[in-house]
Amino acid sequence: MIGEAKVGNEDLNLCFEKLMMVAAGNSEGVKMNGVGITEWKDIPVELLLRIVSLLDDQTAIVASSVCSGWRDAICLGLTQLCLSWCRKNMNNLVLSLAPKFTRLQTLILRQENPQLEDNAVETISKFCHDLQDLDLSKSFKLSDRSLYALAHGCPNLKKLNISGCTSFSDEALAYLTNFCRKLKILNLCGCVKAATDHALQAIGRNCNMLQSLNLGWCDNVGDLGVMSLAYGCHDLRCLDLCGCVRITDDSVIALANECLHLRSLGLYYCRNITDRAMYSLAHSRVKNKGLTWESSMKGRYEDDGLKSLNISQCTALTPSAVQALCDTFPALHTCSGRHSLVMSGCLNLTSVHCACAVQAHRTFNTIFHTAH
Amino acid sequence: MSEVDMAVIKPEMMKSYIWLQTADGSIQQVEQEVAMFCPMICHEVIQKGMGSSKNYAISLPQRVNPAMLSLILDYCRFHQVPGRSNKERKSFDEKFIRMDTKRLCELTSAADSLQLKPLVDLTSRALARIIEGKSPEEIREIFHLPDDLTEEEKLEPLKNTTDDPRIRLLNRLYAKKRKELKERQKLKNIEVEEERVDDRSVDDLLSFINGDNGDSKGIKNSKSKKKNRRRKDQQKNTSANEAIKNHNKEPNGLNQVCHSAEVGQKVRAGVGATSNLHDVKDDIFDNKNELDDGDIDDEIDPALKEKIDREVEDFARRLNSDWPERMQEILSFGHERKPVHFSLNGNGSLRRYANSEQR
Repeated sequence: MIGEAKVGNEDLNLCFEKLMMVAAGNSEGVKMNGVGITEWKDIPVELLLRIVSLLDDQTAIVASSVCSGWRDAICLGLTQLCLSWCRKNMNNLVLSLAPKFTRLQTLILRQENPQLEDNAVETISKFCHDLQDLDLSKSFKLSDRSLYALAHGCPNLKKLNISGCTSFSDEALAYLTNFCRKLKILNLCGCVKAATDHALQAIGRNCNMLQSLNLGWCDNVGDLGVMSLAYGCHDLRCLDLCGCVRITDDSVIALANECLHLRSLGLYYCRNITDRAMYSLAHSRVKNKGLTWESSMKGRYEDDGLKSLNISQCTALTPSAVQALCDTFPALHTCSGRHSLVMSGCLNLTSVHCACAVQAHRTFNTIFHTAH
Repeated sequence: MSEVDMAVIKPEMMKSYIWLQTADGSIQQVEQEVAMFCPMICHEVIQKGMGSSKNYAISLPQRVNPAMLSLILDYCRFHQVPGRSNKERKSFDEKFIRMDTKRLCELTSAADSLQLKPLVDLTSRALARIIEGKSPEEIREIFHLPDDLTEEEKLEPLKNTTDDPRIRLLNRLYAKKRKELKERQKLKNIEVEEERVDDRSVDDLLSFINGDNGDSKGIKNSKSKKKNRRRKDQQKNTSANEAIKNHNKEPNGLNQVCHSAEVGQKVRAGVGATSNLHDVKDDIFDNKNELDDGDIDDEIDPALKEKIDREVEDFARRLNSDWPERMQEILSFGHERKPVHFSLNGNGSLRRYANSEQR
């Protein structure tokens, strides 16, 4: 901040110097109706937008109210905006900016303290039809009205984050998925009312391009929902079921069989998970190795299959099952450098190691022996 | 044979030149390796075979005047040498872009037309640094842009980006400065300024009383009612305003917030702002009817502002004369009927106390 201020000082001095020169009657002059080359307002739009893209969001907003030329350029060209720095006026700001910045594709409205209301989301839906990435996390004040508005106004949504929006209902979410079929990334962390089996069934039906879904702490999620999800969204790569305590092995088995591109799975606190689930995951990999010939042909064996698994607090699991899993998926690591198999709280799984951990152990033992 | 000898014998073979023509008609020749650093020139030479002689000089885009061309060529001359370290290049760049904003704009424009991406990036970043944190008015000044947006269009973003304390402060400073100038002209008393601070709270108090009894009790009814109407829109603002005015009397707080250069000049106005201002002002802007608030808004009709200011001054003068007696009157009256008690703070402003807290 101080550094910035220093630069500002320099430039400000230069500006004042220049103004002084002009005031003293410099012939170069401050002409409003000058010749083409030197008039800044004739700058090509792309160049202005390039400069605006280097500005922080607040300044970009200020720049859009400088003159009509800049306003038009910025309103036409601004595709990304983040308003998370607002502490109190985010709602009003959105209400006045959404009608102007109609080309927005990415809009981050994550709030530190809840400010956003339904009318703002309705305004966004009314004007920003190109919206692809919307972050409404921690918008406690929003109601279903917002979801209905988004469904009608923003059908191109690919990424939606409504984590923490506890007032949304599953009906509204299901309704949204019927219209926003291009969803790839959906974050429903903490949306207890919205993330139910009913909603998941709708997602499985409608959002077949879904790749990433976060259902953290949605304890209404059950096997029916996750199975519908698995059968509908075959491209699923990341699924977080952290805190979804009702989940049983059936869910994981369905996922293992249907979602062959699954890379990341979170089962933290899913106490009902047993070895059956682990073996099904391992088995599906073996079974499908033939199907994923492309990746094995290219030799990228590690790229395929689970890369990250969280089974913390899954106390029903036994070491043999988890070790089998670890052996099947070489990308799962227990070593400190690449810790991707997380088993906190599973005291009986301390013997499970990834291949590199075993190697290190072996090397250590060898050294130890030769020392004798 | 030494290299120098070779150079003397066959200069044309040692170094080739490219001919460039700027929009004003002047033609010059530039070392090939320097000129070819510009993609646009490179394209002309390779694809169209231009630039080999004076007659076939490459016509440069209109945005490249001779001054800019020489700057660009300096840049190219330095950077096209392969042996330089990153540190050297960075250092050169930093020194290179130190020029007034007008030339910087021209340079950006010229570099863009020649498709010289590294220079465009460099100059764009420099311009972005200049623009950052400035108000629209300042930006217009710096870049000589026309002021062609309607009041409404201009107002909104600035008002709504009040989360930036600097922009908010700027607005406040403008308003405050205008007010101070008026004050100094008419009333040469610092005391009166303090009275004006109390105006708001008195209004608050009066409107509360007037609203309930409808009695004037020696207070100008018309003035209060007029202010009442205004205040009705901003009831929740008044206490905030009071707080702001109190804060404004403390210039020391300024240093914490205003270390940025763009308000450096205005600091001398002696206005104080602390971080409390942050939240207080947010409350004000929650209310959409901000145009009525002469303190915060620096863009309302100046004539109307004048009128309001003069009214306030008149009222202040009237109050100033028999303030203590008035206060007694109000207090005694209030004591009989109202459950709420008023008492004076140290700095002369009023505060409400709930019944239980009466001193």
